[in-house]
Amino acid sequence: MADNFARLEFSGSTSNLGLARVAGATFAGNMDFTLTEIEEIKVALSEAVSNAIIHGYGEDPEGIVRVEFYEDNGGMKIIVEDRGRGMEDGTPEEKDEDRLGLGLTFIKAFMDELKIITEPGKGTRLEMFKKPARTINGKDGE
Amino acid sequence: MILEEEVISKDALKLQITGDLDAHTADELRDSLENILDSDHRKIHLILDLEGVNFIDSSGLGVILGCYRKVSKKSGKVIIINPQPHVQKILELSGINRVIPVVRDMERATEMIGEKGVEK
Repeated sequence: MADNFARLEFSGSTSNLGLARVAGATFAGNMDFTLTEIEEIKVALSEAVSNAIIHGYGEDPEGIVRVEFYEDNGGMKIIVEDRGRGMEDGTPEEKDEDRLGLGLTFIKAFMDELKIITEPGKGTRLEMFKKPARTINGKDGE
Repeated sequence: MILEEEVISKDALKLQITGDLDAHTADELRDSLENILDSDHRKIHLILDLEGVNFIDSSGLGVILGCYRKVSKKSGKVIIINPQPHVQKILELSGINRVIPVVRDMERATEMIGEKGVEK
């Protein structure tokens, strides 16, 4: 049986942030994550989607943000993608004073893996992965 | 996002914030806080009750820090009370708790701003 996945597309409006978080939390809730881990996933996802909306599209609702969730290798893979501005040197630098430059800090803190693929004018794709601690440490490893 | 004000004393306000603090609600919260601070210049201390905040990310933190900067310029204090555990974690990870005290209850918060009682 194929592993579970879900795909979501929405306009580049911050009003869709809550939708993305609820979708991610619900998907994660079907896996072996604790409530704390689910809250961490919500933050990482919110930061990634905010980056797409704010930096990728400049909050232009014509832009489309794509979010995908996969059960993969015992964990959850999240992909957040936009076809917006992209970033210049491939190592994103948070110059967003309103968000204190913390977006990627939180993603790196809360997810086990992060990969960023970006090109100026062609958009940005964030691939994040998190494995439930219980599957890493065994059932008593909380 | 809902914001409720409570006058604590002649120079202190408690603001109870309810809802999610993210990029969508950040502007609304920022505008509300600025209006509150600008409408009464005697109010220089703010106690932010985050018990009703279910979610916060860097956008929400940015608003809180902006509020801190504005209050600090008036030599006031900002204190956060009652964050939920996962919100507390975000405050700690960001380091904001090193500049804005985070305490468990109103009594401690009012002690910190030097208030001995609540103005009726």
